[in-house]
Amino acid sequence: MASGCSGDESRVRTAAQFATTHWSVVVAAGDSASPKAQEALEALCRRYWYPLYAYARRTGHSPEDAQDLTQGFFEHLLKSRLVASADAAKGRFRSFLLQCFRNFMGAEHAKATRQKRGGHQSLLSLDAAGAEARFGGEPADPHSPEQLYERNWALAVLDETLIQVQQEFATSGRERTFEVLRPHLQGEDEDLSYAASARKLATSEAAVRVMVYRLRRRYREILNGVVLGTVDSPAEVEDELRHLLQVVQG
Amino acid sequence: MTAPQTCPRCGSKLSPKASGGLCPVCLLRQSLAVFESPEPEPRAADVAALEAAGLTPLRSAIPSERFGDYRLENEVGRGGMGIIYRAHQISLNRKVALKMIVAGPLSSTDFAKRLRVEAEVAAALDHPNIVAIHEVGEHQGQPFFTMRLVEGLNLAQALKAGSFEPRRAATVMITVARAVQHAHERGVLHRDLKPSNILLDPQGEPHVTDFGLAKIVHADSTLTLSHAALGTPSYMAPEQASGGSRQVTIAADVYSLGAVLYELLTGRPLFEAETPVQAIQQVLEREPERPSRINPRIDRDLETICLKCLNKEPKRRYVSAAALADDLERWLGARPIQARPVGRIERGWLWCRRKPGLAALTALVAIFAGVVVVGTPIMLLRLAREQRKTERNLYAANLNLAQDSWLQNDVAHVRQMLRETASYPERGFEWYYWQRQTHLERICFRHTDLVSSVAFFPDGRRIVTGDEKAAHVWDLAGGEELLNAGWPAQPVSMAVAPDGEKCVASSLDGIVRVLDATTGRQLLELRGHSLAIFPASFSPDGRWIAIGSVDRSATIWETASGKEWVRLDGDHGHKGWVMAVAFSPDGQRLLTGSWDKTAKVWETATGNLLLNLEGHHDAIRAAAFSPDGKFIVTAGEDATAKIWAATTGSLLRTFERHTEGIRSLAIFPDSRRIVTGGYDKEARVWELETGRELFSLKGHTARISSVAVSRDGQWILTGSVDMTAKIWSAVDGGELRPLEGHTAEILSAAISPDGRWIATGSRDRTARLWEADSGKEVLSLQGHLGEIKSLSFSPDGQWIVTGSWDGTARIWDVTTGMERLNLKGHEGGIRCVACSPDGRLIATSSDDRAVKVWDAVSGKQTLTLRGHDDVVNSVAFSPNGHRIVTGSGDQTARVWDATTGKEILVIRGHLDPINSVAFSPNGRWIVTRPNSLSWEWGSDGQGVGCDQRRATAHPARAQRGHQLGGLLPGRAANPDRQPGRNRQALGCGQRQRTAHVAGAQRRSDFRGVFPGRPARRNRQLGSDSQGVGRRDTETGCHLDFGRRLDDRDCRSSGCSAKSPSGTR
Repeated sequence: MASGCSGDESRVRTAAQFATTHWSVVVAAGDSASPKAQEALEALCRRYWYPLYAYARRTGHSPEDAQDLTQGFFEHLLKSRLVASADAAKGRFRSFLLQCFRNFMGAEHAKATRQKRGGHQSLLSLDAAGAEARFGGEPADPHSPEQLYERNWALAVLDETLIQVQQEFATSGRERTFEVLRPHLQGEDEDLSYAASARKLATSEAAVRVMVYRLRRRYREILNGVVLGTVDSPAEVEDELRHLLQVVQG
Repeated sequence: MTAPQTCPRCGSKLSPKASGGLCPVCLLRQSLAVFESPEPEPRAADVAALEAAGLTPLRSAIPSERFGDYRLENEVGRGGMGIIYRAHQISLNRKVALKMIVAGPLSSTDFAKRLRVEAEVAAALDHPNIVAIHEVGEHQGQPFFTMRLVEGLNLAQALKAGSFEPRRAATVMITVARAVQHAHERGVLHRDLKPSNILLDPQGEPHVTDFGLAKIVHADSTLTLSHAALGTPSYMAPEQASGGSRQVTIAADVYSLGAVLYELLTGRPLFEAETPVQAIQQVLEREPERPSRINPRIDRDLETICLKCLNKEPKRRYVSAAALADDLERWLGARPIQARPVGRIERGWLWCRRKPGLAALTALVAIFAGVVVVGTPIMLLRLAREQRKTERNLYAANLNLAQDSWLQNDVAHVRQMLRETASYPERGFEWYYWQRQTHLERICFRHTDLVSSVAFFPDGRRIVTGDEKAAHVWDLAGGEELLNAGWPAQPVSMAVAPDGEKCVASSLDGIVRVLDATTGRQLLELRGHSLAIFPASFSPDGRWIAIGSVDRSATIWETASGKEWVRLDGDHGHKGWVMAVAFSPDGQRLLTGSWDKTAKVWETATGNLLLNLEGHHDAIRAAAFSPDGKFIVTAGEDATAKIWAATTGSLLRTFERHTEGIRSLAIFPDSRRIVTGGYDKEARVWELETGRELFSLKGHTARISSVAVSRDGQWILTGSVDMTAKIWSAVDGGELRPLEGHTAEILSAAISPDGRWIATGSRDRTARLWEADSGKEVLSLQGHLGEIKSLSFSPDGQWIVTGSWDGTARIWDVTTGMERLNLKGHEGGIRCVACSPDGRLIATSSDDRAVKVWDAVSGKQTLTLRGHDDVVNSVAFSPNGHRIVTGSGDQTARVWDATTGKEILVIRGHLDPINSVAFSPNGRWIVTRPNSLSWEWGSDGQGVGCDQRRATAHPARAQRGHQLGGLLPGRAANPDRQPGRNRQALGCGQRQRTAHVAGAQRRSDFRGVFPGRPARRNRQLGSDSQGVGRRDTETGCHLDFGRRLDDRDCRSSGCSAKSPSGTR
């Protein structure tokens, strides 16, 4: 099955587009087989596969198994009509995905892994080596697989946001500005003075102040958009953000 | 990029591979902050600067620099209420501080009006250390007020440089307290004193700002409870934080002054919290850490002054800010202060407010919402009570969850529940029971990585474990790691050579390595398979090594030379990965198991295929010959283990108890038992001959990757991806210890006062004494001519009294087992015996309707209590020994004077024979249990309580906690409060000849306790007839743990006991 768009294409989409192309679309379609829903699901899967991979690893699967499971699961998710189930509309994509994945692991994993071992016909190309390297850096404990999943999910959301913001800066040729201003996204810090950033960018402190303000605002807009892509109404964005904060604080 | 490990802002751990090295916590906090208070727009001048720099202007508007009569110069601070600007008042040509109020959704006009009223009061304050308010107004819908401009830092900013020198802190606080006193005298409370509201001018003089404003701001912020509206409640007095503004008095400001002083002295806030709710929780419950602990330079007297302000009880604080200032001055002048240190006891009673965990938070969220949103003041007392109730419910709920999780084999969750309830002060037997259940193994070897394989050395003294990074050799006696040999590649499987000198390890890189078991040095590399390799195994004589591989072949190698001897593949070979290899005991045959669902037996010498075993529905992951060579056992992903005849290859039986795939198996040296382990996290020990499961080993929190049995068959070793390897007793898994020896049903049981001994009485006419820790039978007391219905230890544990159907009671020496006395006199069988608390008297109740009292030393009968019209089932002394209570088949309970034998009280009302009676530990209550009280609380299942003080009988709440059969005086309602001691409950089934000890013990002394489950019985039966349970009598929550005691057992055997100390 060919994917509708490349990774890069999906990344340069604006937040506005995101807000209307993801989970809500899948839910609204009520049928994951519709082309729009397929596209949305694929984009979501591509973005959130690592949390599942890490979940599989932490539950005791070998790197190979985890990779096969993740691959197999997405194939299963995209081909099946899972999303059409009534439960899907109630929850968030985050919970939905883990729930499905668990079921998949429980019931299907032996079969699925063997099939994959035979064929290796990949639906999404997952960076297995990178994933394993990253998993190697996961805290050994005390995270349960579920906690680890949630944490990685939160990080995936933040990663995606950062990539999109970066992309925007890049399209207007301001990669350097972004690199300098990026740390300011984390809030005020004594070690991080506007003056220093101003020197690096050869501009005034006042100008940096305004740029940071704008960067933060844009970051927030995109972050909200990314999160909105995983919940089914804008009203839930704030709650979901709080949840993510709680998770990363864990 | 080298990212720091922790975030310098919030201290969270950073993951360099995620979020571009930025701190996820800060990113999210920053993004969330905007939901609470909008980020201020950049100043016009800054935008101009940006424009000048040639960058695009902002899209949105920003406030103009001109703000009414004022020209805003720059932002000098921001807080809960809004943003403060340095401004120039044009009309008066003066510098002022202008504060714009963030009022939330309120009408700004209304807000400004009320702000003005309040500010006018505050504006009347004329004190050099109070920042005067000049004007309160509204400009373009934006409420604001202006104040005298104090250039300099506020205390919060000043504190960033560290704590204040104690004398300096005292001096500052004297000035602040005098200023606050000035306001108090004019009827103005501050209500929001905190470091950021105290400004230091360039001379270092403090100035208090924002007087009286908190009341308006807080009172009006009923719609949102955000950080912005409320600010941090960390400096608020408890009554203020919980009860709203009506309870706020001078004392609340005194508390806040103390909180500021605390921070000046220690350099850290009194409490640190993430959220307002959490902050309030801490203010209400936690006692501050003593300042001198944080900063040893702090003088004891100064600390006392500070802590006096911070007393949770308003009455116990200084009566006024002036009193605080006075005491601080005394301290500065080295004169005796007036405050007295807070005593230990006083601090102690506040235990319930501390560390309440989730329970308190839950209660608080509800209460907090009630307090602040609805505005109802709630007394602290009620809060504490609610909180305790919530805690109790939560505790019960958590332990019930633990039970469910245990049944679902989610040990990790059981542990989590235990952790969450670990600080609950009233945790009891049940908590220790689960604590013990989750640690049944004898030794746990922790690894930093997933344990993929384990093996015993032939000497039984060492084990080898392999995780993803290294091979570890451990000494079993000391638990020490003898060797840690790093791996070049991730190992899959390991085996120890029969001589114990070598190990073989196969790894994913396709190379099998032979290592010296002592030094870890690599002796050989076997390179014959290009693809990842599964297990390797030694032949029994150590001459050969067999290897299975994903290339669908198995190979046999000569150990000495490292040469490949034979390759098992070709047309008859496996069609899938070879995942298991094992030699026959004589080394002549090799067994292979494969992903292709078949197992094959080959002739070692020739490589000829001898047998093909088909029957598994999924991949075979483990295979072995039984040591006697008669059987082959295979197991795999289809969750079954199969036993085959080794000669014919016919399938004999299938073991199907695992719920998920099996990864590993080991056969005991006697060829009678097998242990299997796999994905379902349990290792199961079962009989080869019958396929019957004997017991299972629960405790791993993730898949078991490997199992092994020691050569002497005494120990089982399991390795798991939960990063541990565990040693278990192969006799019983550590879980249960039957007291086996009686030849007929056990009718009575008791635990010695020191908990060391267990005594049981049986229909076989003997009583036996067992060592509680080991379960060893120590003595058999023989002499009775009838079954032993009741027995009791003396209070000093030196002797046992037994009551028998033969009509006699006998006293036995616990040390020697000698019969010391024979108490003859009853004309019928003895149903119950009891010792007086001082050990001088013995009471016996009998079928002859009489109760007799005996001198325990001389054996002389001292009293006969007559009155009951039917058999007397039960007898007990009151805790002071002055009274005896009896329960009879005549449906009455009677209270007697233990000295005179006079009947004092008859308790009527039961419609059934009374089976047992007991006094509460304080002697005020008697609990009776009628015969018909069934487990499920039968219709007449009421207990009767009798308050002796009032000498009237009245029904009381039934003590339904007594589910252990006999009555456990007072303990059921009162969870054991002696943490750390052994906790066991003893129960025995009516139709059983064994008794079991259910218990919980600390991890450190694992030798001891084997919580009860019937031996050699299948689980279904076990759960019907054996168990322990307790009900929290105050909340009515049922704490059910272990298995339930069948009501018939419970009623008719009545032979359970709890040790007087309540620990067994």
